[in-house]
Amino acid sequence: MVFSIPAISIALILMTIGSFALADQSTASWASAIILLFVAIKGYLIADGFMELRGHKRLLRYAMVVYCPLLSVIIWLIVSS
Amino acid sequence: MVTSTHPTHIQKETLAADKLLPGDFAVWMLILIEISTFGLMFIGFSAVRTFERDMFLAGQAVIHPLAGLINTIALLAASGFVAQGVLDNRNNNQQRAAFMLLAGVAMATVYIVVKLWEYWQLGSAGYDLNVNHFFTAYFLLTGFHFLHVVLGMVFLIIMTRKLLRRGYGPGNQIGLESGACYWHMIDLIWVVLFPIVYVIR
Repeated sequence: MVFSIPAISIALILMTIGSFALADQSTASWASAIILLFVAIKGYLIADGFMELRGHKRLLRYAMVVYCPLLSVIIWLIVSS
Repeated sequence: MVTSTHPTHIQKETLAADKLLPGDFAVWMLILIEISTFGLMFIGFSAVRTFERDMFLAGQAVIHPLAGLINTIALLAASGFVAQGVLDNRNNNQQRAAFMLLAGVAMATVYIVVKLWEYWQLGSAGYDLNVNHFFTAYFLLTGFHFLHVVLGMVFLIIMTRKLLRRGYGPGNQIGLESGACYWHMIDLIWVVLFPIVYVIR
């Protein structure tokens, strides 16, 4: 998938506003999970889109792409325990 | 012998593998070290939060989530402008690239002003590093990130100046890409920091 820079920026801002609105509505564990899912997607978009790592086969790209999803899962496991 | 001008699937894979990383490799090492450090800090923050949940919820009620939201949007917009600036330089449009980087600096200034206002508000109300574990973690995490934003802004200003002097171009962009990647790292860190400090309750 190839997105333009403005499209990525708008998607990131919309997900941020969505997370904020969701947190205002609910403090349940599922709400935290969705917010952290947004974090994972945002991390992927920043690494592949803004940092231009898309198409690279290096370990570095995998590390950057996995960073936010992995951290989100760890934080969710800690927060929901 | 007929030579195809269209790369095959295997050739495409090889081309992708050989594609050069944007920026300098040393900057990527720095980025990996920085995100690992922040990652450990986020895990530590979340772990302490589970032990002192009530204190953290009370702390979160004092800080300003709307300020956090404004800062997130400002940093994401700044990153978008910087990424566009890198593309403009690649397309040999240094004037537009410089304008994009300046727009990024303007957005980063919004972040700085809002963050300083937030610190001033908390300081005036008597909240500092020593109040409790939440505020110690809050000031350390956001303060450490704040310093990175200031350094990133310095890089952006230097790069803008160099762009205006035609110091970068399609064949000379490693410095610009390195600075841009550093800026995106700052954004990436805030993307995780914002929900765990301001949003998740």
